[in-house]
Amino acid sequence: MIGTYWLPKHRGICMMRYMKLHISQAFPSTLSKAVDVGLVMAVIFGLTLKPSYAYLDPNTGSYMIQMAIAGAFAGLFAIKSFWTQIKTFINAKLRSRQKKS
Amino acid sequence: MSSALITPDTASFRDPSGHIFRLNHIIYRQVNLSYKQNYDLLLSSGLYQALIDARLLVAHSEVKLKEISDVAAYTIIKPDQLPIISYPYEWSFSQLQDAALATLQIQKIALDYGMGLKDASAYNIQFVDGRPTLIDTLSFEAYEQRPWVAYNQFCQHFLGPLALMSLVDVRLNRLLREYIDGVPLDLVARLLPGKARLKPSLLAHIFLHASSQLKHAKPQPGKKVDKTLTMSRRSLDGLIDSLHSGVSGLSFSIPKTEWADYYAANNNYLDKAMKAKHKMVFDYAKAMKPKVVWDLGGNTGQFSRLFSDKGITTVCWDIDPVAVEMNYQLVKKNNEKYLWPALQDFTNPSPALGWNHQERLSLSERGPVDVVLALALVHHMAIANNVPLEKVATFMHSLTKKGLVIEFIPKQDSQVQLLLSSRQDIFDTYTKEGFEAAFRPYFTINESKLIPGTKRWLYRMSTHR
Repeated sequence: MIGTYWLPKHRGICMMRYMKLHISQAFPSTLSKAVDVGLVMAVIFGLTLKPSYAYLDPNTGSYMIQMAIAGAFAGLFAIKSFWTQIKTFINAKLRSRQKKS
Repeated sequence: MSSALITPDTASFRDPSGHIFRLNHIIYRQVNLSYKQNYDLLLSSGLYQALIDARLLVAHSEVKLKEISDVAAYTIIKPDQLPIISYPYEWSFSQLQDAALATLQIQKIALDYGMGLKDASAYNIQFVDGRPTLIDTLSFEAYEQRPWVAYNQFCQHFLGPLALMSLVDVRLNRLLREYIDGVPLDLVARLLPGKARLKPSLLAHIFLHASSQLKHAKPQPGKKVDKTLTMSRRSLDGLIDSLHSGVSGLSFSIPKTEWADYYAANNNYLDKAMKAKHKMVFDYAKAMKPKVVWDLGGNTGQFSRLFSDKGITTVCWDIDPVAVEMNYQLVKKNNEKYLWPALQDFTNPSPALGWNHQERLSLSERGPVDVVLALALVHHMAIANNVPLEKVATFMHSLTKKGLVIEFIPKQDSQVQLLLSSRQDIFDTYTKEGFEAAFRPYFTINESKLIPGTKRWLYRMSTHR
């Protein structure tokens, strides 16, 4: 299912396998569910094709892990931003009610 | 570039976008034609002005120099000149943390203007008017939907060292002195306690990151990593936000150290004597009309502020990370513009580091400065560290152009007695006469006075040149 979004199927699956490997090395089992959710988001917020030129070597390992986790954090960021909007809306409503009263 | 008066900066050679040079003691930056589009975009997009308004980027003006005839040059800029350069291994926890947060803030603003940071070196940040400020105007490039090229550098320069300082020991910032391009993440991961994995940002940006780097450390023949993959803006925003949470979620609570409560609990001055010492120190230094003062072993900056409060650029060096931290908190609280708190161990001062020993300047290469204060310091060098007084004098001479305000504390003083209590007294020449004899070859002793209510002597000396 993951691979059916707007990126090549094999790339999403590779990313999932890649992350699983590193998570099992760096953090034994307990957060695996949360990480699975993160991985889904990682792939959902996915990837497109473009060449890259830079004077700094991004480091292959850094490059790969960044691609994988950035999507997960994008999901969290989206939730956080949404929650902030809700809070702002509620606070504004409460303030206007207080003013009226 | 034409010769004679122009000195290329020895640390500015990695980025082909341009380089720094000095001409008649003024610092300039050459912007190369290869960076033209990005430089123009920085100005035309409004990003430059936004960062100047936020006081996050050093301001510059474009200049024409007849001495420059480099065909690769697009333009020459003259940035606001910095009175002092300090390095990340000389910063306290909060200084490094604020520098990290400033870097992320700059990246966020840059993205809003269609650009991004192409590097995230801690050495690109300097404290200007007490605030962390980006000094590399050529750090920006047009944003294309790619992963952050400086992600690894940010983690190695900022997040990793901060995590170690916060969760293991604040003195681990010294690792930045050993690892000039930031602390390797596999080392950070090995040194951090297990509980660090419970912080999602550290789990991701340190542990998983280090694991990924180890896996890809050796290129596998025939297997090419696809570096053409790109990343959405939303993902990059999430990454930056996560790094921000990771950095701001780390803290350092001030413990009691040998020096942090020195003035409150552990000195030989009554209020009246301290006031008298303040006046004597200020009058002695003022006689030399300093524009820049270095206060060696200045603790939390009590004497430094005699000068910085009057608009004199003052660096307060101290060995104790807690004292430097407390000093920096005061600088922030009072919006002080002229005081630079910085870490320095004078028995092992910052060396010249990096390529050809020239990328990061040693302490003495950043001097000499107009006036050096050495208050209640000599006994630590001479007795606690067995440095002969002649060598102390030579060292002080290398740091000051005009002169020295220096305190001599004799053996009869209780603080020196304390140093001698656990060891044999092998310091026969540690007397007032021995002290003066050691300094006379390098300085003229202009005046000296007994500090009221103490056994301590204060000297004003002018440098032999």
